[in-house]
Amino acid sequence: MDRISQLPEPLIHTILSLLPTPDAVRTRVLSRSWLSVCDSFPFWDFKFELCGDAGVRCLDVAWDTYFPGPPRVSRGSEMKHLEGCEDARMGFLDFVLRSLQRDETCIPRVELTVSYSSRICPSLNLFLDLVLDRQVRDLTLSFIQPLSFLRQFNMPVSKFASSSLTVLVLQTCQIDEFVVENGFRNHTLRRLSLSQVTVSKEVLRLLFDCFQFLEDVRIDCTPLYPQSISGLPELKVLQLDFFDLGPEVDAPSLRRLYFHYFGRDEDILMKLVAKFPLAEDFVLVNINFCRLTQLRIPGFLNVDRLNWDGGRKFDVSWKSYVRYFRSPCSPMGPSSTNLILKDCSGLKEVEASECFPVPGHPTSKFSLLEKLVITNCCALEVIQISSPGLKSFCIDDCPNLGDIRIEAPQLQSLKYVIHRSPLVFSVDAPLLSEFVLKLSDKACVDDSLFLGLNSLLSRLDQTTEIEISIQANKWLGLETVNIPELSRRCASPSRNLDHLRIVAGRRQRCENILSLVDALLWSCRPRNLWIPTSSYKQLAKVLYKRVTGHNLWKVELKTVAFSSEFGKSRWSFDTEQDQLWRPETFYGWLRKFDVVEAHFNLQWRDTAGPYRS
Amino acid sequence: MSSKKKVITLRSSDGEIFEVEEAVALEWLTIKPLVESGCTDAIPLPQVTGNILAKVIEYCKKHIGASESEDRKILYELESWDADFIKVDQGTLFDLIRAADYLTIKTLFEFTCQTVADTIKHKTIEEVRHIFRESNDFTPEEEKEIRGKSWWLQGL
Repeated sequence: MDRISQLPEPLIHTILSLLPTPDAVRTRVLSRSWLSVCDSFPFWDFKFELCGDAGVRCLDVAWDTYFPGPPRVSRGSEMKHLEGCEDARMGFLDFVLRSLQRDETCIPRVELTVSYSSRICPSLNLFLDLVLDRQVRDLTLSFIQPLSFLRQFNMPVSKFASSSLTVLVLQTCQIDEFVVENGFRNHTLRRLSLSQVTVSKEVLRLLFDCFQFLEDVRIDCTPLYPQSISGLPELKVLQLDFFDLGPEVDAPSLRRLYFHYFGRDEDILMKLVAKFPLAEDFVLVNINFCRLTQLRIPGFLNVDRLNWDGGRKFDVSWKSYVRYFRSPCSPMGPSSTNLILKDCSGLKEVEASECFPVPGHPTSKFSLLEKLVITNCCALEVIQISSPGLKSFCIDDCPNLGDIRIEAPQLQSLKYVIHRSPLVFSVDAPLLSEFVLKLSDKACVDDSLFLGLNSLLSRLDQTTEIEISIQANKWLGLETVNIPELSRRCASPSRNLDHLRIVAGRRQRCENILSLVDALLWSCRPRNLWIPTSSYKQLAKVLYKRVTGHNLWKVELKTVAFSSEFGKSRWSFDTEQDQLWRPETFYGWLRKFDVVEAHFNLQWRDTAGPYRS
Repeated sequence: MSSKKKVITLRSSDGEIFEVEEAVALEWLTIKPLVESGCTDAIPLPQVTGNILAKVIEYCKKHIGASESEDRKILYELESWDADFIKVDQGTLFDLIRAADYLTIKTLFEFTCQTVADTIKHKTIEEVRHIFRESNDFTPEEEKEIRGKSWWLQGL
């Protein structure tokens, strides 16, 4: 079978549904057999976008392909271009209108995005009349306005009252009035979304009075804060953004509440929840409490995401429902929050900052925990984790941390910012594939870090590739690392790290850079070493010198090759033979080829060197 | 990775036998129940020929696990691999669509259909006819009438 029209009908319909409506309709003239398939396809899923550059592009295609002759978008000066856009928009809308007038098919769904200007207003009103005549069910209208102080399109919402719409989404317009016959009810509209719509509380109340069977309401219209939402017996989903006061919500069927809270009422949730008879199914999503200092949450609540901002004491003791918990740093100053996690066996993600996880509740209790982020926790000194499901772990800005022990068989990603040493560093994570180590300004790195790194690498699964990026601003505190001393305490690892990337700030002073380079070579034995040349150039030079000439590594390394990032240029040589390249040549090469990233490929000897037992 | 991967045996319409890992076969919703029930016999696929089945398996093997990856490099490589993979003659492409539909492989089905749609997009009818070797079996009068019905078609 090699003809497209021989494909089964449902498959052709799938292909048609992937095409823009005009393209799909055009194919009707392809052939007889194709036409019969096309005629059974429900075309009228209108979608057009007329705004900005995208609109102009779309129009270019539209004119060239579908319309003969002018009008065309003029491409003269910028001013003309803008006028052209406006003309083209009007022209296209007129075309749409004419076609709507000519044709009488039903249109289930219409989505229109258009830049608004007063000129377009009459056409839009006509457009609305026409699509409503065609029994549109799902209507999305959004406007893009070049300047916010211009008058917005006054949406004739009253028209929708007697329509058969089920979904109405309005964006960036205004609703001045809503006039319907007294006691008139609309029975079809289920979903109403108003975002950036200028509307008064009074009009909103009238809207709710008329559209009584709404199930899904979203209001995101600063500075409108409706204080009560009532009389909607079917309401199941409510999304209210930017709230100042807890709204009076009277909705007996409510299942899902999206809600931002900026008040101070500690019992706000208790009060809210008390109103809902179906509380067992109640889901709070993305709650943001800014000014509360204490919060009590009833145990039966099912919470998807909880953002806790700036509080002092937080006692999480839900049964098993929290999936995501976040406590960002407080704007009030350095106050440590006591974070007590207990009985949250369903907890999957924890993001904690400026808080003090109270010991005695080991994370191993939270068998479902997958993501743990601990930042800005000044009081934290020890992290000891044994977690069967943990996949991603990030530690940042914990200046007093000195002891890290992680035992996580599933751990794949570890990000760790070092602020202080001495450090006990022990990670048992055989599946680790992404490891970012960042040395901060005050980092004082010593032997124990490299011993820890060494033992981590030697325990990794053989197939794993890991990448370490070391980002350092200045290693002022880096102590001299004594490689023979390290080797005496622990053998250099038997396996090589596949990729090591070292990133450093551009204008940094590295006093003990030699020590760092040596210690990294010793603990990682990298096969591929990457250095972005946008970072500290000295680093590339030191590395070059170390791996090509220094006695310490000459015995361990068999060959060294280096290349630019795209393999544009590549040199390699044997360390046992006479040196073919002098450092100056390498520096010249770095300059000459404008290398983005220098890449060293290191072949290590299999036989035991002096630093391997 | 464990070395004891379970292997599923498949038989194409022309009697060729293929072996795929269980993880790959589980993505094929049509045979998923069979695989899950622990079927050890060769699963017959009477609507798919051997050469098409080989292509399908090649695609699924490449995509398993890789599609969900967030590594941009991997995704980029996958994209260029896909572009090479789909450089086939039209007959094969249509057979792939049918096979993906028959076996209910969502990713392959979407990818192949999208490829055909991209070919049609922004082209004149004559070009589409030429590409897909569809012969115009309308009389000029009929064609004029069909075009006349729809405002998009005027001037073409």
